[in-house]
Amino acid sequence: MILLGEFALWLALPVGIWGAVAGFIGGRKERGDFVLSAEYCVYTVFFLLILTSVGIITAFLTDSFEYWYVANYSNRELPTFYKVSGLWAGQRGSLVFWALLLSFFSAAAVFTNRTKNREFMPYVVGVLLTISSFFLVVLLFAEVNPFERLPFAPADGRGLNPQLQNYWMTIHPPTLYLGFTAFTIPFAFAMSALLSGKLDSRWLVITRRWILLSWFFLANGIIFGMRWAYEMLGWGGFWFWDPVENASLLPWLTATAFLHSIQIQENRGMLKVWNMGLVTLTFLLTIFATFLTRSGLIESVHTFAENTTIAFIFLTFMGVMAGLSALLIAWRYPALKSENQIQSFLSRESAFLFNNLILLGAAFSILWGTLFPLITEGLTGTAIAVGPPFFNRVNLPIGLALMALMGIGPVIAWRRASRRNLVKNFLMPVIVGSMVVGGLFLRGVHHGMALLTFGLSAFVMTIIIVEFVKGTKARAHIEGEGHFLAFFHLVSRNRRRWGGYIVHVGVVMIFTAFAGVAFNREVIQTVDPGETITVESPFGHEYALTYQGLSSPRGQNMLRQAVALMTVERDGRPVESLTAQKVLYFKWEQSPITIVGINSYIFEDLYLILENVNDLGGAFENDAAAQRATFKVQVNVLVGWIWYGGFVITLGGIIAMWPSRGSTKTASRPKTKTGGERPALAVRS
Amino acid sequence: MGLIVGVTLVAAGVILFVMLPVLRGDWATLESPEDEVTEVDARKQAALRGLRDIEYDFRSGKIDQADYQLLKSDLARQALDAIEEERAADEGTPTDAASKPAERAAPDPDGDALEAEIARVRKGLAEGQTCPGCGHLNVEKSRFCTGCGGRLGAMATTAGDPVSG
Repeated sequence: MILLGEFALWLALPVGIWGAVAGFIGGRKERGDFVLSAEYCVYTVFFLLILTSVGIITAFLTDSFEYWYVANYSNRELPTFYKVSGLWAGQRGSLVFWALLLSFFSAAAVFTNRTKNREFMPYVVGVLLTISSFFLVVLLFAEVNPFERLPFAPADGRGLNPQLQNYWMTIHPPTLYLGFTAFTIPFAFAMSALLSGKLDSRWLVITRRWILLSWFFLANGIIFGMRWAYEMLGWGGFWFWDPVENASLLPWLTATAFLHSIQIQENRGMLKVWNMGLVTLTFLLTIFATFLTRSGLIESVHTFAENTTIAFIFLTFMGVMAGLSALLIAWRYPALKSENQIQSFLSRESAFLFNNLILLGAAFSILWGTLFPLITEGLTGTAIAVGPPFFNRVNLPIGLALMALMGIGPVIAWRRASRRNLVKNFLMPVIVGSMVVGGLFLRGVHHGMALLTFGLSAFVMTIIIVEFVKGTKARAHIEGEGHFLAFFHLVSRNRRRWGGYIVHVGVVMIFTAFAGVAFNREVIQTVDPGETITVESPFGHEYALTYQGLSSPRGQNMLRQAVALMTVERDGRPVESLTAQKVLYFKWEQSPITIVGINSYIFEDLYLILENVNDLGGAFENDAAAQRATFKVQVNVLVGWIWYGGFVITLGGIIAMWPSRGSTKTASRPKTKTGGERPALAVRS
Repeated sequence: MGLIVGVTLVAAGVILFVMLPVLRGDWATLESPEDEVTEVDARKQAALRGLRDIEYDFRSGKIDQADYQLLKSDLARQALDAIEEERAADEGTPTDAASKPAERAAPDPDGDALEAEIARVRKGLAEGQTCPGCGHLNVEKSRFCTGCGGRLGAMATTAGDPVSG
């Protein structure tokens, strides 16, 4: 099975290259047979990459340490669960995984468009297979072949990095990769529109759900990453502006901008060049994110790569793709002129344009901050680190401006809005926002930025609620429906708009949670068994944690484990006990891992970290005298709202993506077969 | 030896599969089915969506009456232009009906709403709610034009009336 997988990887490359060539030739020469062959190649590459992936997983499950990749990312004791996830645990496997997901989405795009949008498909297939072929070239020729054999088979592998031995590991990377790869489909359609000259908004209509799908996975992937960091990395936070975290955020920011700007094109026939630029930029950023994570260029908690030579191949590919896209846009520039102009500064178009500029500003500042250490290292030999203070300072005002726009956007009408109406519509939300700020200030909240964030949250939430109420009333009035039915139809007949508003609610919840960080409490204390640490939360709850002592069980694949138990009282009432751990994993004896204990409540989390054990060796040996330990106890304010916000975003995203009955409308069209006679190829121009 | 034979067979099978269309002359369709969204259709849908949106925007107090009238006239004209273009295209290809698949898909609820909107616009034009003086498209049952104040008669106006602004 492993050999078959290796062979399938080699076979996928010529199939991919032929398919790409056949797609482009088929489109250019209007050769339906070449196009059909190219489409078969898409399915074949997907099938071959399934075989490759199964081969890799088999190598992991059978402890085939003669393979470099398995020897470096697994060991005999590793639980099966993590052996399967070995497919994306390291650079080599995750490049295969990327190609697999891309080929899956490519096959899905070809299958769903087998009877429609046919004039786009030759170039779509050509572009998709070109990108797949690039990844296959990297895998086979850039010293990252997952099937590379060692000169001898070691008795055991080096094991999986302990930070990856967490269940989020099986969820977070695949979700992000789904987001990255799904965005290739809109990019392929955009390039096809440029190549074929079909430059109206159809490519956007066709790929709307793909864009939403990609955005949805990216958003969830990022939130899952935060949760992983919060649970696993043990520093008490959820975002550290790590280069790889930034890399995942960049395409999300530009994809968010794109989601808004395509509405201007669809509704007003404007920003066609801008949208072509944004789809290209977002696609390049998904490749950049993969490159940053998996090239070994930047060392961070995510990067466990050692080969930097693929950086050159990746950069060349990105440069070529960027150059070709720019050339195509320049070539088609006369046909991409706007059909309309912004009629008024006070219009939704201009609000969306601001939203785009702000999101791109955020993306570029983060890109700059991420690359700056590399650039300085390249120029001066010394990397100048850019830490969280830079990112926080730049992105805080950007985030607040975005929040304000989330409130303004829905209230302001397309084309033109009158000042009088704006004042009328903003009055109540502004009053509610101000009351929230005033109320919190009187209750002792004096943190300026946090107050501004809470005020803006209340402002946006009021606007969205009022929008739903007014929309329902308007629908009830126009259609003569009852309010419940009107509400249901309001959402179901314009899912993208109302699903989008629900997503905004989720984003506001997450921004509110970020502001909560300003109120976190922290106590660091060294205690013996029987002693108590107390901490009071900003909401007035008093937590008393009584240290019960250390125990030393040993979980699977763990060499040593020290578990500290704390009984917890909240306002004098006993609640669930907490454990915090230090663990040494097999093969990673030099890096003890901290596992935190968390009790979550609606507005705050009690977060326990075992900072230090007086005598870790003694604790591991269950020595009764080695029980003294230092704990960090945190009360993390509103952090749960990030995850609740994530649920709301998921709900809104599903509503926005849900296919309407009309979208399944396809004519059952038999595949044209010719018995020597060729059909007329009426390709519309 | 067995491995080489297996590998050769798999490779041959894959190559045969992907080259089959070229060898046999099977052609993929490179044109859209007739009932698919065309460029004109997309323009019509965008205009009708715009009509729906300004209706909500007006009812929920986001735009003034005057702007509402102006935008509605503008969008209605865009929608009707697209409908006319579609009709002209349909009349130009009378054989389409015969080539369309017998089995029609389920109607789109959004499409229904939009068709109703078209009907409303047509009715408005037919019942003389488009002001013959200034071209404003007035709301149903208006007796006086909100654009110029003139009396709205029963006379039907054409879609080609110029719209101010």
